[in-house]
Amino acid sequence: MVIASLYPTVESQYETTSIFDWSFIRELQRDSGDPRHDYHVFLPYGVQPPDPLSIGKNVHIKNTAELTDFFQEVQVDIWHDFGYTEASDLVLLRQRSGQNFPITIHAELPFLSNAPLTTYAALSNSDVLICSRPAIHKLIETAQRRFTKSATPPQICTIPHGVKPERIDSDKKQDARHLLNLPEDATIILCSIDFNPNSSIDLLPLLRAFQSITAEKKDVLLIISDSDEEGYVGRVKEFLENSTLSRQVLFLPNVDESARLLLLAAADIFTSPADPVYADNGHQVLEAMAKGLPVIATDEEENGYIDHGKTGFKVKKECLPLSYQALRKSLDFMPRRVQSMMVSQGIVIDVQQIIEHLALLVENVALRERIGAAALQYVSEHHDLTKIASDHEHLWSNLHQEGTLMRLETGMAENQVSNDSWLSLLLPSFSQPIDERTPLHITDDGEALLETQDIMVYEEISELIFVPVILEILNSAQSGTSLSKVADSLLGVLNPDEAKELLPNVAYHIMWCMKQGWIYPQKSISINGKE
Amino acid sequence: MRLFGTFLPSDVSMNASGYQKGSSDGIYGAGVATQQFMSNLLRYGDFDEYHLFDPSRYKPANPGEAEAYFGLSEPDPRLKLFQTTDFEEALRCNDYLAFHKPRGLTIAPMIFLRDQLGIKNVPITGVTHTISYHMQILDYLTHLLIGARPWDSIVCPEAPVLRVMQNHLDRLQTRLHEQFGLDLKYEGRLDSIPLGVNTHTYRPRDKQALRQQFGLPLDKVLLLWVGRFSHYDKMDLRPLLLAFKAALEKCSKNEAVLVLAGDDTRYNYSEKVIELATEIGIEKQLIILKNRSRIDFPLLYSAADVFVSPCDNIQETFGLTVLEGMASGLPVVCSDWDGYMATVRHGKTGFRIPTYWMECDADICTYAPVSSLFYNQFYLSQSISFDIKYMANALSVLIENDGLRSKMGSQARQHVLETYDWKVIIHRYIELWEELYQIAASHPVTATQSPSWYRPQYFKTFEHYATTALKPTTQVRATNPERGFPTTDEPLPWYDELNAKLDPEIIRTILSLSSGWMATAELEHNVSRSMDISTERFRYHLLWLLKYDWLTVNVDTVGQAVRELAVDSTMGADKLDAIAGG
Repeated sequence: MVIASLYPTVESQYETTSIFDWSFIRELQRDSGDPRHDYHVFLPYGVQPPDPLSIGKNVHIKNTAELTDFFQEVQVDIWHDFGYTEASDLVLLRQRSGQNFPITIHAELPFLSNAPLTTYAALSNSDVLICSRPAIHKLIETAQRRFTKSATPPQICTIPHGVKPERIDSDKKQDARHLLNLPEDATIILCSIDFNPNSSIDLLPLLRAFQSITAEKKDVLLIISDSDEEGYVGRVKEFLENSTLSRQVLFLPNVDESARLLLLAAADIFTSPADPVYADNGHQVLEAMAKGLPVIATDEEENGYIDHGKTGFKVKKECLPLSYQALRKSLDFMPRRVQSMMVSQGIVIDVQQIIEHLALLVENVALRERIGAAALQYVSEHHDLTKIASDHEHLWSNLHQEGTLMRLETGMAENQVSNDSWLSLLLPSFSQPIDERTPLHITDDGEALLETQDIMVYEEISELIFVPVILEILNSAQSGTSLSKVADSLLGVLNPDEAKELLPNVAYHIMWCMKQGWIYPQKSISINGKE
Repeated sequence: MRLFGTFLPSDVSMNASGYQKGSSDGIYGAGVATQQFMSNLLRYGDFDEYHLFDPSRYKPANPGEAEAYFGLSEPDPRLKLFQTTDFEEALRCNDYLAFHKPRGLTIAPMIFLRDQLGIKNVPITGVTHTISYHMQILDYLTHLLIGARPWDSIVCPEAPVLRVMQNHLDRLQTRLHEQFGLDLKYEGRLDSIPLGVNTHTYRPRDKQALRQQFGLPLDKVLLLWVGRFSHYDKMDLRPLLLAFKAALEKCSKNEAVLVLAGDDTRYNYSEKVIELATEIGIEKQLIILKNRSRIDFPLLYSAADVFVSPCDNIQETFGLTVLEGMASGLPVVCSDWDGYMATVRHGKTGFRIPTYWMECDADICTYAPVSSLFYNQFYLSQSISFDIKYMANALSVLIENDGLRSKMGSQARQHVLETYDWKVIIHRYIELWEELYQIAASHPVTATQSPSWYRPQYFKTFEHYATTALKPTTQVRATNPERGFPTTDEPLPWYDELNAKLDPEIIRTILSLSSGWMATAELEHNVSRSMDISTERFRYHLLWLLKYDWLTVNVDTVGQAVRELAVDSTMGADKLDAIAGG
């Protein structure tokens, strides 16, 4: 079979998400794989090709300028995309090729933030959208039903992420720590994710959680590693300078592949409380589980990778669709990056939960080992890269055998849908921690903030967050408050209609205070009934 | 108390991160060796304190700053950071076993300073790296002119390098005598202690797993070369390709690949290497891994079977990569050249391949002072060859013979553990310093009598740049007696660096005593009644106060030259035009 892919053009070489999964392509070249595969990868001008021989003998690296000649000489059986090229562009490519190959696309969550819904409308029913998890499958299915009228919509299937399971023994762990110049005896918590509060993680809540762990444990080290294309680390370091943490938090931005693998081998605990609306930390979480690490991560409530308490700990992503209404009017005029940031700052990861899980794992070595071993076993059974590669081969072979179908190349956009359609589908799927009357209380961090009144607000949301409102929320939370109480006290002077209109705004501020770990709702939150 | 001292290099951060993508940019052996030397001295040295004199420091160190130089995350109370101007006081109060410069042999400036101060005979040592650049001849000359003592030493990593150093000094002494009748002699010592290697970082690991990780072939004999891709100052890799091709032809099947890994950010030399490989039909057996981060290298050695290093350049002195290969349990095939002659035991830990050269450098030598040192080294290296047949034989023997590879590999690691482990090397340095210390102690302390030629005289040399030099009779007074100098709680109106030179207390005293016109000599006398202050220090503060208009000069007391430059703002425009028009 002849399979071809386009290497996506992205802004940064430091993208964390495996935008182009060379290890997957290498796996397709494995001895037991289909020897008839010929894999062609087209690189845009200026992109460094991978090291020769390191990707398998049947992989042909070409330049996009060679596409026209290629289509004249080679009949493509499958065009596969890792999810960073717009589907409509791929359909255009097919039209220009004069060929009739099926297209398979990884439909990844981060990609959605950059793609209008209609991008998938151009695909036909012999094309396949591959989702890595059931929630994305469901999301795309709903979107397809609601927003596109294509008579021949693409097929949707779920093939999970694949990773290489590997048991790390204590020798290997010590060696990794030596090579990275990390302390041999410390408990190392690794958070490996983009330094980017727009698309990957807001680190401040995690650091606050870590701070309360280190109050009692000094031999714990938090390593935060991965790409830092926007210099976000600088902002976070400012926060650290004012805390007692600086010696216990280590930033290793933009590490190379070997260092990344060594970090996983050196760590004792992995955490990824990714909170932005479009974040999908699934691949990183699975990679950590594949190295036998216990993980604490945001995960799907059902059908996720983590079996809470057995193979790791889940933390919930929570939001109030009400608070999102505060943003709606301005979202259309914002770049998507800023949109994502604004919405994400109203999404909460419960800091208390992270603290509890971290404390448990830091304290209990036996529990770490038990959960890590269960995680490794789960990954070996369900996410082994070899199995995932053969799932893809199976899918391609089915598509290939279906033969040349009469395809209707549907037009491009059919419905005009607004920019935030994905958001309106995504947000209700998060749990909602409070309602208008849920009692809210202040935390120690919140008390401390009332003293210093030193509030750090990201520039992107500085127009949305009003410090007096924050202080009012914290003040009233000292004696117990709620969304409606804050609204009353703040808006009492206004007439009821105006007050109603401003309620979402107060909700946004409250969610933001919860995100920072300054207030917490009285009702304790449980996941699947397990605490 | 046992004390070690060093002057930190001002030009390098010794703590560059090795994790980052593409962070192998310009890896130079000298930088690596320096960082490793200091880290291992801390690990294996038996000193109570390590005093680091930092030329770019102007204020006391913050906690953790000294540790950051060596990438230490834990506080190390033995490390103390000082400003260079603290040296005199430090020498007076402390008894150092030695001062050592881990980067470079240029110890003459430290010897000059020690001998000017004439406080103690502390031994000073330095270590050679590259000793082939023409301009270094001035460094060697400085050593002769400043006069090293029998308790100073330039440490060379191996005997062949020591001989080069001896040749340099002998030649200079002879020529200076013949040409100028000068009788200069280097009275310091030349000693030989090799560079060390971290045998924990470089060690055998699970080959197969690492090859999988790097995507390297699992079933072939993997020959590895590591270095900076540069035919100018490292080595010409094309003869290696010819030997590799010949070796493959000798083998029963094509079962080997050659991996070339290193920094290629300067010359894009690997492209040239690939061209030749394609020309001679071995491009499929060649893998180039360029500009990888440093963390990859220990792992790449562990993934390989044989290390090759066909050095042909006088820029190279020791060959740290050969040690790293041997420590990783690899047999080494290298040219019989420079330090390799001592590190690789032929037939036991690998094979040394004969090299050939003859005198043909007259032109290069004549033009050396005005030529690019890169071209010089390149042209020389093109006249130096290794025997390609010998190399092909050695490679094919090792490719075909698994048992021999593994035997030589484990002997190589053993040899390194016994001879080149940092623990051994640091111990040898301490022995050397102890010996030098004894020699120093047996000689009386003598300070240089006359001012050294090496000491600059800035004021005397540049004095005429100023309109006038102030005299003891020049009068000054506070520009605004009402204006008090800020207290220390407020931000000080000067540059951070000035904290090392200015004392607010002196400034306040000068200002408080200068409410009316007063000759500088009289002012100095008055100030010195309330505090102990040298003339130099008084003058520096006085001049700084003039600079920022805290003090004003009485121009009637400074001479005609200043008055001629007066611009009278009350003059009318017509008069000014007339002056401008001549």
